[in-house]
Amino acid sequence: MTDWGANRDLMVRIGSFVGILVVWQILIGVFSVVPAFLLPPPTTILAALGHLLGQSSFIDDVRITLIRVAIASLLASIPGVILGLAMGWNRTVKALLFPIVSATYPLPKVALLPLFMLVFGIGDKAFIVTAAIAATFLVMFNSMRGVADIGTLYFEVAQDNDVDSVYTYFREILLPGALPMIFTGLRLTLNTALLVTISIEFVAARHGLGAFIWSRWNTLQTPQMYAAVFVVSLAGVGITYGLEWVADYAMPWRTETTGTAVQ
Amino acid sequence: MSTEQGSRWSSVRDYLDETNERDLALNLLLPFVILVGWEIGAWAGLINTQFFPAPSAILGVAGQMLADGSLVHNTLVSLGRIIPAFVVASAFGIVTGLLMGWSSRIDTIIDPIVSALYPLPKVVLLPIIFLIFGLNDLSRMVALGAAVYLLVTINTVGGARQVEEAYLEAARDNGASGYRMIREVIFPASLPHIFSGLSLAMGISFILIVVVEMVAAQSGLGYIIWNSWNLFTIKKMYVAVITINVLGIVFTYGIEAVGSYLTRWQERI
Amino acid sequence: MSLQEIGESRNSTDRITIENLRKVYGSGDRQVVAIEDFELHVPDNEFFCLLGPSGCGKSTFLRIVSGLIDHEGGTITIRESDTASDRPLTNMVFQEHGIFPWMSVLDNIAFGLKMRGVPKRERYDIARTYLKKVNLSGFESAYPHQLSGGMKQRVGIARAFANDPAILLMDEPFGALDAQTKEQLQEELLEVWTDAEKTAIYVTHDIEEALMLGDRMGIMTARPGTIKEIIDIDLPRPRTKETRTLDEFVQLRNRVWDVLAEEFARSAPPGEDT
Repeated sequence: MTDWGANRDLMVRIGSFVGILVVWQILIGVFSVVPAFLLPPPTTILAALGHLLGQSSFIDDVRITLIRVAIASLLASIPGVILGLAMGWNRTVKALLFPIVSATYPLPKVALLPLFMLVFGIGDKAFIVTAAIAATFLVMFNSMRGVADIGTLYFEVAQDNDVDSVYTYFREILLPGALPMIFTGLRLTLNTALLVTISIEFVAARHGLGAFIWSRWNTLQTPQMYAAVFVVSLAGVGITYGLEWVADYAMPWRTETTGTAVQ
Repeated sequence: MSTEQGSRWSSVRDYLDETNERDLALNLLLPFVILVGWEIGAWAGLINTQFFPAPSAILGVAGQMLADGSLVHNTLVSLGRIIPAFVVASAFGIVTGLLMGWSSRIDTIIDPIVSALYPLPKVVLLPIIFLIFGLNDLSRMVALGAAVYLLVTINTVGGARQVEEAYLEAARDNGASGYRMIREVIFPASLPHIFSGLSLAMGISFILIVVVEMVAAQSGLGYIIWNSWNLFTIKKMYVAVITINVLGIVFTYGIEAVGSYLTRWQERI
Repeated sequence: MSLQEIGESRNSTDRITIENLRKVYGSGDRQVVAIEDFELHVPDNEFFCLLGPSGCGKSTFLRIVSGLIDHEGGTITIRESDTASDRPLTNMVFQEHGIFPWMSVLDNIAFGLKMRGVPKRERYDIARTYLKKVNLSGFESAYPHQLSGGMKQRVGIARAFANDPAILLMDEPFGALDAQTKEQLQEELLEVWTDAEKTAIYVTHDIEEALMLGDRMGIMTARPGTIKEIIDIDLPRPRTKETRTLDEFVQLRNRVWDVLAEEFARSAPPGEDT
């Protein structure tokens, strides 16, 4: 429909969301349906958040987590895309790599964290490598799928149009055609890196949002804990919708989001 | 890793059908090279066996752990946390998703909550749930269940929403409505998406259980990993990691296989 | 206003009577009158073709008659059969996505019967009968994705006939098929129809198809949608490839063409949905 319809939809969503917050506020703030320290009303959480944003240690934690996620994603993207496209395009590469990649995919990479901490010691190196490995898998699969989706038709069209070098084929046909799937892969990468990083920070880190949340859980400082949870969700939202925005710019021909596989 | 157009399992099977001996040999080449190379490297002293014990040594410890029952016991503990939570939460998720797809009123009510929680890294639910329910097996299962419920609901709704209007019309014209519309049309049409969701949910279940058992439990395979790291019984750590990997393969790809079979009416592209 | 009404019409040999039908989309300033002053009487066992260009509202009309869409004015009266009272009043054959990919061919044919509570054995017997009639023997357990376009439409037709409605409604069922398959299926449809003795309303934009199939043809015009002219198709049955070569056929075709040309000339720029 027209923009009018989309805007109205957005307003309804925001309205419902606000409605839920209001109900939440009333149920706990006014009626104390659940003890406030277990699930503080939105206002309390917001206040705690405001307070935290003024503390440099918290800002550091946020920064540390985001940097870990960014580096892990970057580290994952490059080999992930290359290997994924290579597997999608070349039968031999696929025959070589696919079995091992498929077999190790179902292993939660967090389980490898202790191993990496053995090798690298407890610290960012181990954390980032673990998250990067987890994210690499997703990039690989999605890039591989992206190639498959192009189909042989384009290949024949390309041959017909004198595309003779591998590099040209790659650049002009394969890569743009695979872009939608690659974008989906990137979204999943960042979300995965975020998920794994937070998990790692629960388990073994002293700094970072995950560590912050876990420590506040241990000391029962719930408003701060929820405030940090909220920040993490914002990161997730930012990733999902931020990438949507970039994708619209990079792929103006797209009519809808590709892949409903949701994390 | 699955999308709505058939699963990777079926692509693996198709792959095996199409593949020739050369490819099959290549398939086995890398795992073989790695295992043998690792073993030889360990024997030759080229690999640090403190951190990377020889495969034969790991196998030996695995045997021990089987013999003393610890492997089986902890496996069952972990599975005992995952499976009941997964089954119950999935069932609820499918029902919720289908209802949301069928009635726009229900959709309007539930969608904001679900959409708000969707971009959340599910692991962040853990401390909240532990806070409210305490730290015990029930709360571990609730945490798992919450994540599974969200994933399955979202994917089911996605499936329900993309059912062609024409199918709904044809069904109405032939006398279907209400519950039967869901059972005869919306549910089958959404099956590919539903299984996508189930597979992803199983993946997330494994991630969560490992995290939970590493940081908030005294038993289970994740606990073994963490404990072995603490006690520097590295071979046990490897055994636990491999066991989790095998379980992951069985359950995640198992679900995909079932899904593939149930959606065999789909066009294979 | 709700669905079709059952009752006796003035003309007692009419199976369906439609008077002053009116369909409006939207409201206020953005109101679009899709159908207005639409009148039609179809006698028993007649094969009536509704012809019109894309966007004139013929699919909308069909959906109103089937009860899938509401209408805002006028009456639709369908005479109930004297014998079976549990037959559905109408049943539709769709152009695309009419049969369900997740059901086998046989299950698809039996679907309407299942929804009406016909016991398993009985409905599968009926389904098999019609499976044979549309020449799909051997394909009972096949899934739609294994069938060609023409075969899928056969399934749709089999289902419609298996449901035994008082009136058969068909929405350009062969519109998406290639010419050869189309002709083949037209012949098959007529065979099954003659056998079953049913009233049919068939929507199409293909003049020759309408002439091949129908006893009478209504030419529908757009904005608002209404029947501009009704033409008797006095061609002998059974209709075959030879029919197309008859003089009467050519004359009728030219006549219809003229009526449509007139309509094209006066119509506004394109771009409205059916």
